[in-house]
Amino acid sequence: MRLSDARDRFVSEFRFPVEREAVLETLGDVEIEGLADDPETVGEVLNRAGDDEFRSADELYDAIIGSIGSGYVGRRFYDDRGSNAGIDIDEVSF
Amino acid sequence: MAENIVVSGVPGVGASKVSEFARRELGEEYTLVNVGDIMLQEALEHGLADSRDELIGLRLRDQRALQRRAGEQIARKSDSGPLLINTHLVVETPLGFVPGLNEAMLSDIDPSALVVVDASTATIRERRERSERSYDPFGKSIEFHKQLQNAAAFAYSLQSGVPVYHLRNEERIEETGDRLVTIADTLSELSGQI
Repeated sequence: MRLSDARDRFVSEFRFPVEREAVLETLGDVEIEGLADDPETVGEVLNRAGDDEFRSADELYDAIIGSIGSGYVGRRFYDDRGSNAGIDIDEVSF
Repeated sequence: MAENIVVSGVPGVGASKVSEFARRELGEEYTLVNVGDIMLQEALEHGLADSRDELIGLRLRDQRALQRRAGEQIARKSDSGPLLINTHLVVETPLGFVPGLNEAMLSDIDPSALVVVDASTATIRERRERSERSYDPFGKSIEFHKQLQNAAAFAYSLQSGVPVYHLRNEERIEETGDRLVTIADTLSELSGQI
């Protein structure tokens, strides 16, 4: 699952508020793709967050981002020679 | 044919929750996409930001680059079926208000409708105060933000030739969500007749 697909998954799988255990039971083994060569699972990421319950999809999403963000930021395409970090020259072609 | 619907509202009005309710009611046919989530993922992958708060403080050229990437991702997702696309038509940043969509992004998204979720300024302020999400300290100009959003909605409508729907969200999220479901069903029926 990519992070950008997570919200749709959360909304379709859960009714909020949802307990952390319920999230781990349903999505705990799902890998979060795209941010590292060795993806972590939702369970591994949430185990670093302290929340026992999530009141909304926003809160669950933010808990995951909060746990992975600083660990991954800039490690894949980081370029300290200016802004954009290569994003302008890394356009997608169809 | 995919009937992509852009759902927008100023922060705190409840557009995300309305979109989430409608997504559940519409079932697996629709996929919910949050433009901010895609931009944040792109920002993480490119080392530009590691949180939503940092995203909003990025340089404008970086934000525009992320918007382009988000548009491209949405275009690819759209190949698999219709999307409910939750975004902000106007974004308030420390540098001022900026467009939430640009021409390339609008072209990539190719919406069939723009839905503006609205409520009174007092209601929005109250919801912000009750929300679990912290809102930007500079986000005090709710009325002006709403005016810009409405103007932007029609400007995007002129650009893309699609209708704008106005959904009042004063009371229950479920009622507003049901009206969004009706819009999606109507668009789907109309699409089948073409």
